[in-house]
Amino acid sequence: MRPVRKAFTFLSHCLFYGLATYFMLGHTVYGLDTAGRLLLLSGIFLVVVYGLFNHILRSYGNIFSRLLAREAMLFGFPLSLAALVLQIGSGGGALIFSLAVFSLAAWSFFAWRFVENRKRYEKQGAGPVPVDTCIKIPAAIVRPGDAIGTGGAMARLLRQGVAHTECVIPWQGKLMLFSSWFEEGAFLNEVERILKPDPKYPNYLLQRRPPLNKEQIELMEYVVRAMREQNLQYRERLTRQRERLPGWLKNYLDKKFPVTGYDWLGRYTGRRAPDRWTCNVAYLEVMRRSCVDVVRLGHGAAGLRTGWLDFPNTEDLRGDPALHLVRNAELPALMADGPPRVNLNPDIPDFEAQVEALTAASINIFDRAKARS
Amino acid sequence: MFRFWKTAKAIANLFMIFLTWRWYYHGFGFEFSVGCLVLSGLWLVLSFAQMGHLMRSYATALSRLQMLAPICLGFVLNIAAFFGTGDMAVRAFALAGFCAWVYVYLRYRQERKNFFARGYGVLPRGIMVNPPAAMLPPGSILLMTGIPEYIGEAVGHGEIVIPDAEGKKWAFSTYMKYGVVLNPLEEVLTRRARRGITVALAPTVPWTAEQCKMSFMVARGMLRQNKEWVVRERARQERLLAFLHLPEFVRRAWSKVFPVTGYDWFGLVLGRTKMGRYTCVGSVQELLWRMGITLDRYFGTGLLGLGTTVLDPIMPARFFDLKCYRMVTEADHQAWLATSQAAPK
Repeated sequence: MRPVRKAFTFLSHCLFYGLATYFMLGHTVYGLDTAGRLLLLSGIFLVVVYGLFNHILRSYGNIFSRLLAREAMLFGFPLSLAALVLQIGSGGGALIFSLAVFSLAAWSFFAWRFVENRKRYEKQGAGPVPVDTCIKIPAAIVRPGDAIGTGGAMARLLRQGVAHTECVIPWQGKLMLFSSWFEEGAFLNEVERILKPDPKYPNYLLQRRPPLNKEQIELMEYVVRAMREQNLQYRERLTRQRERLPGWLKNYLDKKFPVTGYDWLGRYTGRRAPDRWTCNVAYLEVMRRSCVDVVRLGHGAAGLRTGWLDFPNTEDLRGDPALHLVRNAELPALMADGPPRVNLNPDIPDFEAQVEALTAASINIFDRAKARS
Repeated sequence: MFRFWKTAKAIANLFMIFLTWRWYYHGFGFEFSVGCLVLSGLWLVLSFAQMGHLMRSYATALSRLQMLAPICLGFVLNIAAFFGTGDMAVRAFALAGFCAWVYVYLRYRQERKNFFARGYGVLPRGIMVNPPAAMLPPGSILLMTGIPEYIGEAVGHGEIVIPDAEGKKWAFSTYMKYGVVLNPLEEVLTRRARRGITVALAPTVPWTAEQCKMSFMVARGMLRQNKEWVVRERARQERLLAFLHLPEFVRRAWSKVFPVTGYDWFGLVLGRTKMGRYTCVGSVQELLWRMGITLDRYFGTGLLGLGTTVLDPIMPARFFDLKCYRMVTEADHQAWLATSQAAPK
């Protein structure tokens, strides 16, 4: 659904701005008068906001959802209002008049829901996070596979509560955090260092439910070791390449895009490179390589999988049904009993048994073929 | 860089096809012979530019077509240019162009000698056909006779060799009938040898003990992920069919046409790699990715290399082009025989 949503949003914008330019050049479609044309433009954004109604309200913490809603309202309201005024002024037909009134009512309802939805969020750090979000996470409740969203420079830039992701991993017998930093590339951190309470940099915990199984946790450590090695090789390769460049170009690149192992291009594109990552892509990669089903982000503009202009955002991780945002109210239960057992396939009664049977049948298929014959 | 060059070459080829069509129907506004020469010259530049890549990937039918079609066109254009004018200068250029195309063709013939016909296509000369399981190191990619026999390729199926904790070798792949599978290598090679051919590519940098251990863990993880997807998808499909209230025979026909086995049927024509379902070579590439083995190129990036994964199926024969893998040759086999005979029993 995610690529379809992206394609829908992208194509609607193309249609809106294309038509707006066309109308400004003095053309019209289907013989529409000025009020009709304004209403048509308003209608395009109305379709977008109502098509993505739940998504916009659910992902209010994401700057791009807020921008989309505000952009739509910024154009939609004045266009509908102008259409209504023009229609009354010219004394035109009842259809356009009714549509303009309906359009204004629809925009008002959306604006009301949008404002009401804001009450479900509170400002923490540089932007909104859901009310009652646990921003002082006790280190005792984090488990391998959990994602920790943190504030910081990116959060300030994006006006979000959090915009950096750390992945909880097992490392040499204890828990560590793995991520990709501007300054260090693929980087391991102590859990306590990131989770120390700081009002300027709020954290939130996206807890994986159900928790990872033993094999996935064991594999995760191997995956992180391999990723760090890949990142190191990338840094060495890039340093060698930079040495061959003219001095001025090397100095410029080293200043703007230092060789740290961070994926500077991926910061703007959202691509998935094999040996360098942004913080969010690093989390997604660790999960994917550890054979954990995870939400797929960074589809690229129009959802065409080009990996262009669509960088994964920490807030987007909340779209993963297996990641649960921990609230303050849940803390006592979590501290006492650990994460609750969650069944992601409640409508398939014997899910585990079926999977086990299929897995067993796919190891050495020739044995079974012999037995059958 | 691979994707950049792929995009550049694809755009150049499409542009040349467009130019040829344009010239055929509308001309370039020059004299006929000059138009022929211009078109031939542009095709010549493009052929030279991509000759190295095309000859390395000669085993794929598309690469052979990309070489032969411009050569034929180039000959025809230069002959037409030569006989279509009385201008000696143009004739001299046509002759020079013809000679250049002869040179391209001779190089093509020369390079072609590095391959030999086998099965439905060609294989690199010297490659060991049906190698014994014992000589294949962990991480070897097996390329076998498979589905696209009819499109002129000798290999159409891929598997990868992974060892378990006891050192037993397994072949990991995805089958159309079973989805992701893990089979004993010995058994796979014996069965394949009966009704086709198998060739192998070995990693240039041998796998470490850690990578060997990790490969089996990743394979088990992918296997389980694939089966989880199958169970979920079958349940989803059943729910859909129940919702539609279709008669029993339609349900059976549906299941026949779209069997949920764990094989990525769309991936067969697209080249995409999904989280829980794969094609045969798609699963091999995904396993290597998850293990953190950086390949010098990744296949299935889509038309024009834009990452869309559209119309860019991963052809097993393209793996011959990987620089981080080398072919397992007859010479390797001889060396292996010598060492295994010399080794104390």
